[in-house]
Amino acid sequence: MMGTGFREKRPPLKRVMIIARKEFSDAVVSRRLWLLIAVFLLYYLAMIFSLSFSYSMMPEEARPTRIMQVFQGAGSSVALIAPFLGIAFGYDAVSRERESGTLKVLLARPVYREDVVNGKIVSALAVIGITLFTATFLAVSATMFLYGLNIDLDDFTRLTLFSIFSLMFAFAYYSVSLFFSTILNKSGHSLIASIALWAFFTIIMPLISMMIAFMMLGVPSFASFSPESDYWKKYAELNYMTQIFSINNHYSTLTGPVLAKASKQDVFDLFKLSSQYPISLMVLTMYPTVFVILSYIVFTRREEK
Amino acid sequence: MSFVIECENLVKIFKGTPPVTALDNVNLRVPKGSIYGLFGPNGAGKSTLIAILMGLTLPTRGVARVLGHDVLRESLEVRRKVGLLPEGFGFYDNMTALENLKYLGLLDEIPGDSVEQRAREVLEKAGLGDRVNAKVSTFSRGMKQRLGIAQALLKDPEMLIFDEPTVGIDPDGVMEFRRFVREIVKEGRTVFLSTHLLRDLGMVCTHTAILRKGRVVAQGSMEELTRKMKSSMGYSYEIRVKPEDLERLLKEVENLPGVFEVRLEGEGRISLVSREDIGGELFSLLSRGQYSVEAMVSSKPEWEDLYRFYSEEGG
Repeated sequence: MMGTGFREKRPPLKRVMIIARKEFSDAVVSRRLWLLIAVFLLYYLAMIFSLSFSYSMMPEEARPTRIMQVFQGAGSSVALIAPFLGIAFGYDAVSRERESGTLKVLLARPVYREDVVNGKIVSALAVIGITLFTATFLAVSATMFLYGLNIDLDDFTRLTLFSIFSLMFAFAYYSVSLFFSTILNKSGHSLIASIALWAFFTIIMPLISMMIAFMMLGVPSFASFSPESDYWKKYAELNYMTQIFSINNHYSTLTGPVLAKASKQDVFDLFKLSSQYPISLMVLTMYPTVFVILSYIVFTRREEK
Repeated sequence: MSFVIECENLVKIFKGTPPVTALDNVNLRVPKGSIYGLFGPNGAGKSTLIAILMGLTLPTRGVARVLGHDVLRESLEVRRKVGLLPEGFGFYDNMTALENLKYLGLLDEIPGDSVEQRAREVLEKAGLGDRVNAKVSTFSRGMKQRLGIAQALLKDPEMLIFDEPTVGIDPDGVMEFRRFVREIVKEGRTVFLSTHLLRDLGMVCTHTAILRKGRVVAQGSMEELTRKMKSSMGYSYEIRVKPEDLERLLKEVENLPGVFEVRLEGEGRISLVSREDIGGELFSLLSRGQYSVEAMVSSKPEWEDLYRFYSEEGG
């Protein structure tokens, strides 16, 4: 029978999963993913080997005894790379389909536009998550092997939380890129806009923040160089205020204490962290929420001529 | 007669400075089981109309129904029953033909356990049975068109919409496409196609609408439109005889009923235009008068003539 003979109406979740599965398999075979995984691994390995080299010069008693000592510097470097992971999967998520004409073919099926966005988000979360967790797992394994260190529950909690914050951070950039991808017709434009935003938060905003602080507090004197000095406390406050909307700043604010394990007895307290930095947690959650909602609105209302 | 597409005063204005009226009070009725050609130049509004019918774009005003479903409120139902081949086709080049169709088939609500079989069936039907596992990036434009038809047929639709299906396709591919369209209409489906290539697809259509600057300037069955045009423009004939017969023939054809224009074209040629079909009378005149006729041609209107006539009349 023509028309309805062999159809079964699908619940939205199933439609989302069909799209997510296809997007995920596309990502898995893409050079883009493997290049990013390679960059991540290379970075981690470089970090571990450079530390290994510098520790080998130190006397025995100065060498790392805890895994978190090795990973302490990971936050700032992941802050540099993770956004690209998000951007790489978001910048052409919708615009590429528009450019290649597949969007019309897709939307001519009995699917809601939200299903398309949701499918892409589910797949991106899975890909970014797997990349981050795998890279961290491999780096931890290499560290344990090279230094002969063990990992305890607290280290595990810290590293897991670090990976979760990194996932949220990368996903924030993904959501912004996804938004650009829905609003702009060309993937190239979307990529430029996403990188411009990254450059703004990573390079321009810290510079502006520093200039504002120097203008308001004056250039620091030699005596004020101690991190505990009033000058630096005020500087940090001003810096925080001027970068209140910077995702990068809040990611660093959160991952700093997670990775900084002062001693073996220093047990990580998630409750303390969330009560200390509620705004950072909020901003890191707010970006994906706002930009995913904006992407929904733009994409569902957009006319595909 | 039942209609599968009904548009009433459909208006689409794209915002901008200045705003662009893509569709201007379009009224259209597409009979069930027809091959309906929507003709018009680039920018006439054909793709916009198709986008509205498929729920890809919202109309500014007016009503459109496809297979009895309102395109605004029941868009999902429309997309369940209508197969679309968009302009440029649109495929995932990194995937094989079968992978493309399996993915789209699942979105068409074909059960997972039968989607591969269905994909293979339509690929076979589209003449791509031997290219099932080839990557789409290796396909020629003609093969992509056939794959496009296959994807449109996947859901076993009641109606197919083709947007500029023969652009960039070689003559063999166009002939094949016409054969294919006739075949799928025999199965009880309706085909609605848009094109600016009248010569390619005009002859396959049973009904047509001519769209110009967003307005439907003519619509109806091909016979109706041709008859109306001929009665207004006249029937044209060209006769070539030996030069010594020219003067005598000229006088005789001028006296034939309905002839309102006679011209000497040189090289023994006379062209004439009549309000009625006088082919029979001309033939008997030429035999009766024992003219040494070298050629007699009754010029049939080309699709371009049809389009030009109605465009000028309507616009």
